[in-house]
Amino acid sequence: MAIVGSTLIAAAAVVHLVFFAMESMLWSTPGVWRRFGLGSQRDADVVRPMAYNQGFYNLFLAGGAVVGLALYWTTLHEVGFALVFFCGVCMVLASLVLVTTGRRFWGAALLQGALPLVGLILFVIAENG
Amino acid sequence: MIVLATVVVTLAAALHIAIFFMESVAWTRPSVWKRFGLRSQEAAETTRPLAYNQGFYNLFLAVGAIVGLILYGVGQHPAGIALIIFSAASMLAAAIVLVTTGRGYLRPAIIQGILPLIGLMLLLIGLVNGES
Repeated sequence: MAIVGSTLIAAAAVVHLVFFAMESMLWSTPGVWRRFGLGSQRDADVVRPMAYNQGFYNLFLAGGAVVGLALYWTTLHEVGFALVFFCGVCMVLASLVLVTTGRRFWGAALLQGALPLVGLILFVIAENG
Repeated sequence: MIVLATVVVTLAAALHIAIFFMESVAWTRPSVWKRFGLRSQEAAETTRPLAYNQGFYNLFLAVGAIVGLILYGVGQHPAGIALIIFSAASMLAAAIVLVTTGRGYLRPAIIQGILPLIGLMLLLIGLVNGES
């Protein structure tokens, strides 16, 4: 269970790294800002400073999850679990916030939230099994 | 030192809850969006969905710090310290990213970053000196 859970959390971290790349590095590409529901290059430019910052928050969650996984499987099992659990919960909650932003964000929310949700459930089962 | 660190980290968490409120709840008020460097109500409407989401990320960091403080308080020291360090370091890193966003972001970055920076330093000094 813990192995499958770790794999899913690692995959969730990769998804969040991709969000970071899109929001903080590739934002001005029309193929990117359209995915985030923006209608014009002008709007994308207005939003750009904010997207740049938000991408890094996704990077931090990915980093926290990866560090947590590394600690979980090496020396600091409990510390690792705390970090994986916190970062996984944040990813799931962020996807729920996305759902409440508007209907057009449901697909993105599913992409953001499904992997960490299933990964977390498996992790918790493994810890209590 | 660690006791002092917990006070400063609590203040940092309170500040991030205030940022959450401004970004996710009160964003369309001119007094709020002007603080974030926006120039018009139209720009505030355009950025609203992103601000709404970003505010929650700040709330999560605040909650992470508070949960870490609680875990530390009830004797779960390693897990508590890990969450405090991760949340405070993320706040500090977010402030550094704000500096690199462009001119005019230095002041908000200092406001966001100074408390987590001091809290982290006090915590690390305490840990190095053998407090746990």
